[in-house]
Amino acid sequence: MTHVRQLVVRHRALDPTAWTALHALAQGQSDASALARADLWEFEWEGDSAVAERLVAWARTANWFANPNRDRATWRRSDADATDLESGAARMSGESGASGRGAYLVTTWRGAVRSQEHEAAATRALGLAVRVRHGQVWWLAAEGADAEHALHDAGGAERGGLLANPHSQEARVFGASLPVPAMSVHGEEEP
Amino acid sequence: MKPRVAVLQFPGVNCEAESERALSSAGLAPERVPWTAPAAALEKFDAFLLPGGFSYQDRVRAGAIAARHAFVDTVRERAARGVPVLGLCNGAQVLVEAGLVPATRAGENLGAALAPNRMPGRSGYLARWVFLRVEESPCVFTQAYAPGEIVPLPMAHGEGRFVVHPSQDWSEIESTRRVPFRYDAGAEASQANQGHDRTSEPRMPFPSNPNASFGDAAGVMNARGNVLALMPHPERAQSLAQVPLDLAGAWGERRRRARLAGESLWSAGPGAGIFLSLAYALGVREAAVAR
Repeated sequence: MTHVRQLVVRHRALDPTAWTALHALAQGQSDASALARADLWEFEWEGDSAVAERLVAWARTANWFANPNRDRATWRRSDADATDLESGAARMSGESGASGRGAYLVTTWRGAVRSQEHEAAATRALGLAVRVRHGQVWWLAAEGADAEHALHDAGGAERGGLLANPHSQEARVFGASLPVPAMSVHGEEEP
Repeated sequence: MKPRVAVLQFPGVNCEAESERALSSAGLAPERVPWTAPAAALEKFDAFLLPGGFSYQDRVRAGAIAARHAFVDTVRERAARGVPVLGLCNGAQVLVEAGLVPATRAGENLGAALAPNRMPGRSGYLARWVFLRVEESPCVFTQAYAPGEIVPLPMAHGEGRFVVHPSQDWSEIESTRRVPFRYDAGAEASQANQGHDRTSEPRMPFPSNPNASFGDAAGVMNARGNVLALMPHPERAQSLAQVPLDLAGAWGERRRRARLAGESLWSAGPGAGIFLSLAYALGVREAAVAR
């Protein structure tokens, strides 16, 4: 049986990239009112689900994924689990933290979703083959407008948006919940 | 009066000083214009240089935020009238993210991307000297070089791999001669590489092509040749003194000879030709150039 765990790593403080991107979007007449960003990791393995506990313990101390002094790490095993992204979102007002309905965008570098270094480290630490995918996840809210539509404008391949360059990145817009898994490798070669 | 070149300073760039020095050595009058200046301040300039560094801390993607600065709208409008624009490293990333190069299709926002380096057994940032071959093209910035000339330059980047979407054919860029500089290990490798159709994937192996750039492209320009996005750093090779003593090839030999003969090391280096080409295009006579 295949098991997947997702790790969302965001800044504890206001994310400077999200703040800058939000203001850049505003100059482009976007409807975005709040924007959050996080590193997105996915770990996939076959067999024993109990490996998940060891994975969480290893990831916390491995220094590969999150700096506990700077970052907040949230583990997810299903679509229903919270991402905790909105509570750290940058707002046009200059404050951080948002609520309400938003939409998610996941971006990956085409051909570089899987990480050889991280797979080797995880496999060595956990004693079984682990596939590791890496990307970024954005959460956007748009007051009085449709968040998914605003995200398509901001990151959709059709318009060559700010959040994704379609020549080098894959971008997938999701609705109100972020699925587990959310990244695919599109026939990517073994790293 | 010397032609005036604006060196656009976005927050986080770090190659302004050496870029200005290279322009001055070529007989041009550089002037640094900070991002806080009004875009109207750019009107008086005869050319633009976007230097290397990490504009806006490379937030979102390298060059992506600076590409949306009001300066770039002015640069785009002036470039359309034939004003030369040179983007070096991060400046190149800004030009690609702004869609000023390759500008293959009319009305297209983005015609290419500079993706993260792809290298065997490693990833991330890479700094090393690389060899570029000058291609025959109408590029404003190659006119001081002979076609086929091998130019060593230092590179230092994490996202420098020219790519296009899988649905788009790289040969569209090649057939319109938009690659004036190509990674090339030198004469022997060039010979082995003859007949290469350059349709998509790189053919030069690492480290000759240090990042797996499509078509071995180190620099890509627009159709007219007045806008060039170049990933290596010619401003860090503007004088012979900057050439490493152990560098292979003619420039390394020249450097070693100069040292043994006690000659001045402040003569033109391999990167100077790019700035001289710009100076010639702007009407600077060769005698006025400090060599």
